[in-house]
Amino acid sequence: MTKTLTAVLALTAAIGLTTTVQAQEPAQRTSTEWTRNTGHPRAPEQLAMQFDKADLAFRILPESRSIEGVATLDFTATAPLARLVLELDVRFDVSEVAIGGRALPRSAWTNPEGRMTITLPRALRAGQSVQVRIKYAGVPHPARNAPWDGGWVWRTAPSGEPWVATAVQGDGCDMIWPCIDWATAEPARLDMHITVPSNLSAPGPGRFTGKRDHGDGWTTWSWSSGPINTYAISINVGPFEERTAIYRSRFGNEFPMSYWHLRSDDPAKVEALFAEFPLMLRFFEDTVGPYPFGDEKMGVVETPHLGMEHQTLNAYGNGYRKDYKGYDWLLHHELAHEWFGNQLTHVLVDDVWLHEGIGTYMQPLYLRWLHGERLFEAELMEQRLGLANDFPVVAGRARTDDEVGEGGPGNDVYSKGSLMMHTLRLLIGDEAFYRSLRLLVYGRDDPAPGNFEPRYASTQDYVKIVSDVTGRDMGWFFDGYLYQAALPDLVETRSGDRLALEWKTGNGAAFPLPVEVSVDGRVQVVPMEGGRATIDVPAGAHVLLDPENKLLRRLDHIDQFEAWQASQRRRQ
Amino acid sequence: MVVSRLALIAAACLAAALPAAAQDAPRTSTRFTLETDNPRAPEQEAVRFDTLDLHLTVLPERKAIEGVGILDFTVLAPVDRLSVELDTVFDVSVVEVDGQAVARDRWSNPEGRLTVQLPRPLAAGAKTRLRIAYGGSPRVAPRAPWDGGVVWATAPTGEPWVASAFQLNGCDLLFPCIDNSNAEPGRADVRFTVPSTVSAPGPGTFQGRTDNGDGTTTWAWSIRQPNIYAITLNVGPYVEVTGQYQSRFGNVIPMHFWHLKSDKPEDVARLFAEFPQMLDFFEATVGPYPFGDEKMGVVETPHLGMEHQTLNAYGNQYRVDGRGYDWLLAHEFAHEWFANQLTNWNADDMWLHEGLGSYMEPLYAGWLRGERYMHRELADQREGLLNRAPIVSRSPKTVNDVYNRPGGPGGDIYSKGSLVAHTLHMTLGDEDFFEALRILVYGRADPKPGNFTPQTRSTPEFNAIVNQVTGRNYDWFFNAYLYEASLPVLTRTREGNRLNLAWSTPAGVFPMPLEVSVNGVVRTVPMTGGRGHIDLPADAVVVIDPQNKVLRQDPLVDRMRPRR
Repeated sequence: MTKTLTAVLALTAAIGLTTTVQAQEPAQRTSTEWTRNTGHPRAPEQLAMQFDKADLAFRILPESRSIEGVATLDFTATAPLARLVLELDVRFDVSEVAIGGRALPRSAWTNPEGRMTITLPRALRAGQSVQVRIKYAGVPHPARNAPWDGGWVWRTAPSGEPWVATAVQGDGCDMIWPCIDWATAEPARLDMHITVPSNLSAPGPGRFTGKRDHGDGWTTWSWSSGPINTYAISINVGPFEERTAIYRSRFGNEFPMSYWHLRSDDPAKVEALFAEFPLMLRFFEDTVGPYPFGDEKMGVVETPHLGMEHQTLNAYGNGYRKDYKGYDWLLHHELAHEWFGNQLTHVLVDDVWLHEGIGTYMQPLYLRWLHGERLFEAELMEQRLGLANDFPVVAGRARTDDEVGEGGPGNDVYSKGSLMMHTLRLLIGDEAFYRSLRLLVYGRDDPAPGNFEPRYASTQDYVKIVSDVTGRDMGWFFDGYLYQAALPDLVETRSGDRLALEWKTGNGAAFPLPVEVSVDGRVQVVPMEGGRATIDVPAGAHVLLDPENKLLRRLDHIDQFEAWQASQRRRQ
Repeated sequence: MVVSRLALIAAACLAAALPAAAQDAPRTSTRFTLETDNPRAPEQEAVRFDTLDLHLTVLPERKAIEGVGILDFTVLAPVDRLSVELDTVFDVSVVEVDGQAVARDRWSNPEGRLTVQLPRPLAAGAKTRLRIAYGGSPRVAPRAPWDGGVVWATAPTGEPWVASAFQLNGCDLLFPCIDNSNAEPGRADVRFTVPSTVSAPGPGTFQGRTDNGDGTTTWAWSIRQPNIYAITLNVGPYVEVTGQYQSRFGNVIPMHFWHLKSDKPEDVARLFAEFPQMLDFFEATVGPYPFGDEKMGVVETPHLGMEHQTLNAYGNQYRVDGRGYDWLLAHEFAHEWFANQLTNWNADDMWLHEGLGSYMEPLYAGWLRGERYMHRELADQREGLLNRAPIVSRSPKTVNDVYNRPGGPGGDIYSKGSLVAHTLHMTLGDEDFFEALRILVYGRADPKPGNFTPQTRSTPEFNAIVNQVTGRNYDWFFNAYLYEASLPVLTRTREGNRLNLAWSTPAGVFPMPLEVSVNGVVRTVPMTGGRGHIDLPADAVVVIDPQNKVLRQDPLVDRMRPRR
């Protein structure tokens, strides 16, 4: 997702462009707290099966802001299984639950608060498969402030037609379809059939597999995708036009780039944004590796909310704004998630910095790739101002999305994660750093189209990768930066001709991070074994620690700035 | 001065401290008076301004002053009259030449240039003394420091708080002077008589304080060769903080900060701790603090700030930003080198003050905090260049022409001037660049306390210094960046595996070398004759000028309308 603070203003402006109709909360039902959060621990039954395939058919009824759905889900038991457990918003009326094509009696399933339990007619042994079909309908949860407080967004496009989108990263797939609302519970295959009024388009994930006009004013759009992130399965309906071209990858493959934009958009702006697609692809393929979904497409759809990393169909709602840095940061950020989020998916929401922190570091790297050092450093400087450092980025235990957001590290998963990666890159060098990224993202050092699958990894998996690549235990580095709320502090004591340096971390553990020291312009590297060192420095010499600002660390002047900002806010 | 676009918000915040609009429709200053760096009259060019003896009595309740100015001149060419600038808002009560009152029909001040017929013509080498007593309500600054005059404010503790700033309008708003960059007096002795409840810090060195026993106290100061807009009013309920700076050049420099007594001690301590850091930086980077025999001085003002020599005006209210230093203090302090020690020959060359001065900020940020901080400030400066007029027109201008008129460069003398200085620095390298700066600022490459005097220089002189230091002709650099409005444009075309690069600027051939990163390996293309090429592997990742050393037209930045 995108960072809240930087994006709130932009979002407000984006909404202003469209005809806003007040979201009407139907009196009948509301989503439960359970449904409105994501990342709840899985039930034992959910752990005892694998998700082979989801076939999802939707009819979108913009006038009543309601949907009708038929979900056909294939699972294979990995342990004896008597019941299926799924998540589905209680806002929906379920009209049928069928197993193997046979409807179950109403008594065979319950959905008291959004966790639906289906008693199987016959228990499964490990290795046996089952197909469940669920027909449901209703008025889904309207988003209060998408994409941060998500759900369904119903709008009217400037040209008068309905414009519908979903964004559920913080809330879960269960607001759209019966799923297992857990990061690693991706279906291995997804088919989607979206039936919409024939004057609208319904772009979808993966590959386009056809469109059928039923002749009654309704048209069905079909899409098919490989393993797909659970919150990437989204609905997008609107009066779109498709701008498309072929991208020829440095890895030898080629794939379509498609952008579905409102037909009322300024064509020059559409072209300017579309011209950034191949540049960004080129950057990511140069920097990280092959675009992970090259057998499907790179896709972007214009949305009434700011944006979201929907796999192969990124939501774009930045209104074509550009700043002096000369690129569309929102598009870039969401596209970064194709690598960090969709190809590589965290095991736990607790590890979300793997998506957001590494994804955010791609922005300064892109600026350097495009324009050089200056904007690279300026972007890192912006990231450095405004860290909270109130909670560790990683807690080391399962947390829900809400626990990572408010009452947790919040925006630090973006900027602090990014700045830590910058420090890591300069510590271990480009070669080791980019190798560690390839191993993290693709599970191999030589990714090429077709030789990798989407994968899951945790923070500790990455720690191990970095340790393996560098040939030494790098746990101390991640402990110091990710598992402590406070930033490492480089304490400097100068007396006479001696300069003593000592790293202090949140838990007091040794932090042997080397420090460059410039003494009257001459730079030496102080190894900081055991986290401390003393060097000779002539009295009166100008000493500058870390002259290239490689190291993320606590700094007095930034603390002062943050305190000053806080005092100004209090005065207002 | 500080660039106004950065300061609009700050100015708004200061509104509480600003005075009510001037009452009883006083006389207004003439257009002539409101300009500064007007061409001198022939009789002004025929004299040398040796000393100014100025006594100002400040009357905060009436928002008025009474002044006596005694100006000593040496005649350089025969003259039969003297002229000085003085705002017509004042009533002149006495005009004397060499102790003799001048009859009212022998002097006139129709629009702000006060001309006095001498009793008899004077020959070259003669000395003469002009004494003028005057009084009245000086111009109230509509928006100090940009539209200047006197600011009559009240301190939070209730006492009068008075300042003046008139870089854009001239010294004649306050006292009789020759309002031209080339007419600095050799010395100024200044006395301020103020209510005894307040202090009156002044320029140069402190000469004593006399309690007049009538509720007023007179403060005496003396300064060597002040900049024409450096002598100014600062009156308020101040507390003085002092310290001593041990210079790398062996001398000891007194540091003084006069702040309002209502300020928070921790704010005062934090700002004062920056004084020696800034001295360190400038002395290590440019050279000796030019006024070390007097003082480094700062006074808190109800306007944002101004580079008043040895008594910089500070009104940034201790704001903290992410740069890690007080930018306003750093900016005004840079002017001790670039404005007060080195003074432009004419306002047309004002980028020598503001551009080189502004370049000290990213350099200081890098020196204090590291490379990232330097790049961040350069990136900020790169936004919003106007490029509507050359930085230097090569014809004399008033300060208002430069700042505020459509044919002038406006804010480009700051940011664009700084980026031009950075490009020059990167082109020449540290050694030649800083040697050229020293010669420009001090008139010599080996400045030491006592071996230099304030310098007046122009852009062509700086160009000549660069040529002399490098032994090469850099006219093309100055022609393109300073004498043309548009930025140099780099055109890149691909011919098979060859990347062709070509500079274009209205100034003609532009042989600016370029670094090119090809798949991360940096090579330098000499660009002889303004053109060059580089062979590339197919599919190479190319970044032109990966360190962003060279200021040039940038389609990503320059297509955007200036934001401010």
